[in-house]
Amino acid sequence: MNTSNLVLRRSALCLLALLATSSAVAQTSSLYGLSFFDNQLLLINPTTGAGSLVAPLSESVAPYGLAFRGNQLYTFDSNSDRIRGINRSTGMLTSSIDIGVGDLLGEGDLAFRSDGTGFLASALTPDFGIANDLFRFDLDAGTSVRIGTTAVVLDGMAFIGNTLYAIGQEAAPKLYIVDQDTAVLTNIGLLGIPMNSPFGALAAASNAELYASIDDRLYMINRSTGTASMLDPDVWDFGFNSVAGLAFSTIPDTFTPIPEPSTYGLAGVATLMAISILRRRRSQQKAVPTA
Amino acid sequence: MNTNTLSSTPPVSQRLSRRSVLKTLGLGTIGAGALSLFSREAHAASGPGQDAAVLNFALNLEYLEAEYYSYAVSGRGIETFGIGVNGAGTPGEVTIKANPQVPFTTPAFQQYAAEIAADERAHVKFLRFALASAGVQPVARPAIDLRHSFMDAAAVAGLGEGFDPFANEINFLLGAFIFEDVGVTAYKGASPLISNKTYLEAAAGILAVEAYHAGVVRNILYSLGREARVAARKISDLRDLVDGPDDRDQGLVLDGKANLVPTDANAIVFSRTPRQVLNIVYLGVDAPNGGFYPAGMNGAIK
Repeated sequence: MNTSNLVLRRSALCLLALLATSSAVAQTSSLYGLSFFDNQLLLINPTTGAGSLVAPLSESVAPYGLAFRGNQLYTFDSNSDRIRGINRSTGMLTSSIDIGVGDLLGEGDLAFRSDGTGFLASALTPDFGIANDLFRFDLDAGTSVRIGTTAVVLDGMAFIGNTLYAIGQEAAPKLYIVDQDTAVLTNIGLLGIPMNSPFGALAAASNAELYASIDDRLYMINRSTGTASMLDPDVWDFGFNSVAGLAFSTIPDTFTPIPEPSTYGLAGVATLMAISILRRRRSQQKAVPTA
Repeated sequence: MNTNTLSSTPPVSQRLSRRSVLKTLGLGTIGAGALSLFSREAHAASGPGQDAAVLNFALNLEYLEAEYYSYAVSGRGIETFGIGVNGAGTPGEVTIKANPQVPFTTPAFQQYAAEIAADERAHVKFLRFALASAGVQPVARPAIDLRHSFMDAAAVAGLGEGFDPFANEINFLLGAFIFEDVGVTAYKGASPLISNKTYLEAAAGILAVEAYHAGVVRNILYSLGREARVAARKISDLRDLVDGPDDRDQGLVLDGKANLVPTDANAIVFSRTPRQVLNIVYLGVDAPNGGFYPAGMNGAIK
């Protein structure tokens, strides 16, 4: 085989491998966040906890958390008392679904079980009394049932398998397992960090790791002990305020990933190296006299 | 004497809905209640978090201010304006003399008072929604004394027995003078204790509003002449007497010159800790209650 062709072919394979690797990274589950006051939809790096803006929601809402049901992202809007579908790429609110609840007040969270059943936590009555409601709802039928009263306000909820985990809105927040039939909470343990701001959230990754947002900072939660551990100590917070919802996509994102600048850089370096090697070999071939 | 009274109050345009409060918070342009200064140790109390404790402490103070101005301007309390007073803690009533509407003789003073009253009611409403929308129960209005508290404060300050802030517009302004500077200095100290940036931005807006109010009151009292300035100095001395050992409060005159803006050497408003604020409104050093709050405040900081 011609040496020049061999080098070019190898270079092309290297580039393809590089791009394929980049694409594979983007195909893993993504972590989304939603801020309460300014309704910003975020993409959060679960390794570092750094946030980046996807888009502001297309309407002003008072969102209770964030959760995926299949490939569709949802929040609950207590202004309209409706479940709202969110386009995860644009922030567009795509649907408004009545599940038969009304006059809810006080940010909690929502979560979907693997069978599609939804759970919604809400803090207060319309006249500011303590409610600590936990609802179960059927998004397809548009119905809901009030399960009961939780002992504390549930600020974040997430399923791992069929187990519903939650964190409380407490000065010293704890991790709980929620009884889905009675709303009784089983205390797993203290997160070990203070909660200064009343906004928190919980999400479960596909590998069954729990992540919590406390005071706009991402932590990994030990689901056996409740202990929260810091991620990248150099990333102080999301860079966004009042993050009240957190959700991992359950199905990999389908949007075309935009390569990082470093990816372009690596590809460029590889191309330059290939061209350089190619030129050197050609010049060496010219310099060697044929017999 | 002009005995005109306010037959009607200006319309309260601050009709705050849940949506408008959220929108306001989101946009960051605010008007809300008076926060107080809090020392770190004051937050050891249990509760849903430091921010909620701070905002609820502010709400206690806002109830006081809103009731004072509303009764003075219109002769009726904030509940008659559709503002809720329920919530966490022990609810209480307002102790006040019969027919408290101030017989304003200066139309401009009446207008100032009406505007401040509307602001303070809006602050109460805003804070209640700002807390509730985040899932935090706002504190209930505690028992508030607008009668004996002023008498006691005035007696200690040397303003005489039986002081009635609702008797005339000068007394009303002196009563307002007690509150407003406290609110301003309280906000200053609270700001570093608020972790949520949206709440912090709101607090900055609140501080500005309270500073405007204090500026109006101080300016009027100064312009009223020596007698009002001396009375203000006595109130300032009273605040200094109870808030702590240092001499931080300032009257309307300093070194023989007008002192409308009380600041430190860097022209920065000074701060008060929560305990210092409580000492003033309870009218007693380290008192658990008393003064304007006969049963104490509601919430984690009290």
